[in-house]
Amino acid sequence: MPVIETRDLRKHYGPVKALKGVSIRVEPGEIYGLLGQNGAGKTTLIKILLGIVHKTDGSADLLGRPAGTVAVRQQVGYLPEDHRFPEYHTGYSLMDFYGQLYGMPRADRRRKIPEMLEVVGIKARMDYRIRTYSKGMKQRLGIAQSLFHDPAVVFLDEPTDGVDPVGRREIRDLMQGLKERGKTVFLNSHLLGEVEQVCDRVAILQRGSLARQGTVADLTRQAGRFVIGLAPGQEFPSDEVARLGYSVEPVGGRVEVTLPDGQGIDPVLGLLHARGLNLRHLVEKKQTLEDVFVAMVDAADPGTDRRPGRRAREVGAPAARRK
Amino acid sequence: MQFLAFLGDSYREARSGWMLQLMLVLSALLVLLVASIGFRPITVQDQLDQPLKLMTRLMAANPEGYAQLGKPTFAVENLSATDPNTPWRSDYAFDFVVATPSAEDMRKARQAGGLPTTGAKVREFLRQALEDYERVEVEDPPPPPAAGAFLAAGGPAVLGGSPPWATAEERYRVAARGNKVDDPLAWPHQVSVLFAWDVPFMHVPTRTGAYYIEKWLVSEAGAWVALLVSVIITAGFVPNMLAKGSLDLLVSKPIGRSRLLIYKYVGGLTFVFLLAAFTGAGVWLAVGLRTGLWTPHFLALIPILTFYFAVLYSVSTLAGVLTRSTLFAILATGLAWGLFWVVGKANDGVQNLKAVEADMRAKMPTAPVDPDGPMWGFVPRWLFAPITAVHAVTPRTYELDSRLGRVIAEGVLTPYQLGKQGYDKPPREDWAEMLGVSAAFVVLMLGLACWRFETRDH
Ligand SMILES: Nc1ncnc2c1ncn2[C@@H]1O[C@H](COP(=O)(O)OP(=O)(O)OP(=O)(O)O)[C@@H](O)[C@H]1O
Ligand SMILES: [Mg+2]
Repeated sequence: MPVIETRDLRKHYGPVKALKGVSIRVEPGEIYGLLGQNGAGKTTLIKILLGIVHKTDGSADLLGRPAGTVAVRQQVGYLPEDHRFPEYHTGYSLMDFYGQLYGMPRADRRRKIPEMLEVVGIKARMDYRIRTYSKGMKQRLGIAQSLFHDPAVVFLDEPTDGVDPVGRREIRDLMQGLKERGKTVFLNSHLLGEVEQVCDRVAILQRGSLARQGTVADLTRQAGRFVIGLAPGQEFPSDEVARLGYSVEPVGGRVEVTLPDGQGIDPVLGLLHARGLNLRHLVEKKQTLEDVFVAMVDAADPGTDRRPGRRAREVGAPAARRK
Repeated sequence: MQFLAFLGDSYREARSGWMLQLMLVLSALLVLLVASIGFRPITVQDQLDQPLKLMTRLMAANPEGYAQLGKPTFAVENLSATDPNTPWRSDYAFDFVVATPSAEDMRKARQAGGLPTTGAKVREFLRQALEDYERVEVEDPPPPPAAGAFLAAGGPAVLGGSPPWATAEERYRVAARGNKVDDPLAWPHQVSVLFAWDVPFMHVPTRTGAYYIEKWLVSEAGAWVALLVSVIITAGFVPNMLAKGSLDLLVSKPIGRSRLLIYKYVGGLTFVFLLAAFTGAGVWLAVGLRTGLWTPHFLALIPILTFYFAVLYSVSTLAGVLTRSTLFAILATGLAWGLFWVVGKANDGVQNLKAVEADMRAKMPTAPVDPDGPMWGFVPRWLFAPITAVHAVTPRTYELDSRLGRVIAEGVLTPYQLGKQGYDKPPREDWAEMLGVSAAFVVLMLGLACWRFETRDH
């Protein structure tokens, strides 16, 4: 049974069509990443799953039940994007308040709150008013409140927003820990490097529609391409390699060689060896998630204003010029 | 448990703005002020001397005018009581003395209108000053020996309302009998505030004093301030909850939206209830300790004030849900509050006018009732029906307020005093109607607010 399942989910805010028929499926124990440009509808999708906004059409199920009901929310944790905690609370009292809403007994709250705040690294400040917290501290508190009642699914909308690099790593570890305990994590993030590191599967939303969905490995796989560099002063025999059926493209002081179907890189290396050339650099090229993402959204209409001077590029096509 | 959690949360919210503390301090000050008010019984001599002294002092402030008036002074002398141990049951006899420097001045003083210097004026003055007595008898001063011959010669005993002769000192013999006051607490007392300071010329029966304190100082002035501040403090509760970034956090918790809103509402209500209970019980205790009046009537302030606030806060909640603006919620509540008052007042006026006119017609079929005359000089008659109709569905805050005044009065005043305060007729409004219509209004407001909150995307 999937933990999250939406079918042809639609949401219109008046004339704005935030979701135009999105179907996703998230299995238990997965870390699922939702990517997309600003205004793509990521937050809207989460809000529908939590019952914060009402869907226009389609279906959304959470833990096998219709999303948004009180009973389902009991087992869900949520870190909203730009959340604002009531500032009259201290970190501890806020968690205590939320704990009561989840029906946690007092003794449990007493024990779990400091534990959880220690995990996110703000235990020392838990008795201070939230208004004295820094941005990253509030974010850490937000993560703590989304996890401390031990939910089966956690929705994190840009969890590392404002958190320092060490904290980000801690949050990644936290997500891994959840996964190991069989929890499901649904992550919205613009930090693709991070998504790549932690997510099992990702989906890319493009202007309210699902553009791609798959494992990170699926999305970033690329037809064999190698970057080759020779010893200083040596010339790469481009013409000869091209005659073997490889396409060659100079990139800076090196060349990028694309394998034809069914061929390995070895014939090229053999050729270089035969010519007495000295190999100094050989790397199989892999696309990053960012490459995939940028290529994809470049090709489509952005959700925000279009920037002049950006050329559309096919997914998987070589980058025209890269820094 | 969720409910308690919200109570705690609302408490924190109210406390964080320092308003809660401010209210508690104000309310403690009010209780202290009431506790500082003392009552000391006075004698009939004091009761009469004080206004006379005041009158003399006021006149003497303008020496020239005082000379023109003949420089009169007034005094009470030779007071005797039939029952000195229970002054409130006693009958009294005394001399009321009017004195001027000369007989000529006495004539001037008689001519000046408004002073108790002639037999008729003295009677009028004393009847008013001794209004609590069944009978006040005033005996004219005996004629001077010289007048004997004049009278014997057939001269008139009264000329233009006064005897034709005058002396420098005129002594009226006064007897006051049949005190209507039936207990010591209805006897006039000197009022002192701040534990020591006697308020000049403040002579009221303890019961009336308690009524003034409970009704005017606490249930009118004090409650008004308390309600105003409470409206302001609590108006932020709902908009703050709905603010972007806060709502998502709450709505994603396992609690229904309507329930969330109702808990917030009840949270605000509890705040006012506690405040009312603290102030009400404090004042009741203070009044009881200072006057010995322990009737529980005044404690009705606590539920009535809370209910009154419940009406206002339901408006605030709906406005908060609709606009998410604290300022707008305050304005809307203030507006509704004023509107309820105006509608209540207007309806009260219409009903009173109708009753008075019906009464007049019944007593005298040809009574000069103007069938087109506007009420209060500016409310035309064709508005009467709309006023009555609007009033029928308006929360009865105005009536609740005046009814509370009556309940308080019934707790401390004697039947005779109740009549003097205008509570001799039975009340027009009926508890079930007042509470029912107002509660229905609250339910409607909250229903609309919940519906909007449930269906809206946030
Ligand atoms: N309450 C709302 N009323 C009207 N339009 C809304 C509302 N919330 C979101 N939208 C619109 O819906 C679209 C999707 O918004 P959403 O917040 O889901 O985007 P997002 O993918 O989370 O973007 P970001 O990366 O900036 O967080 C946007 O065009 C936005 O303007
Ligand atoms: Mg978003």
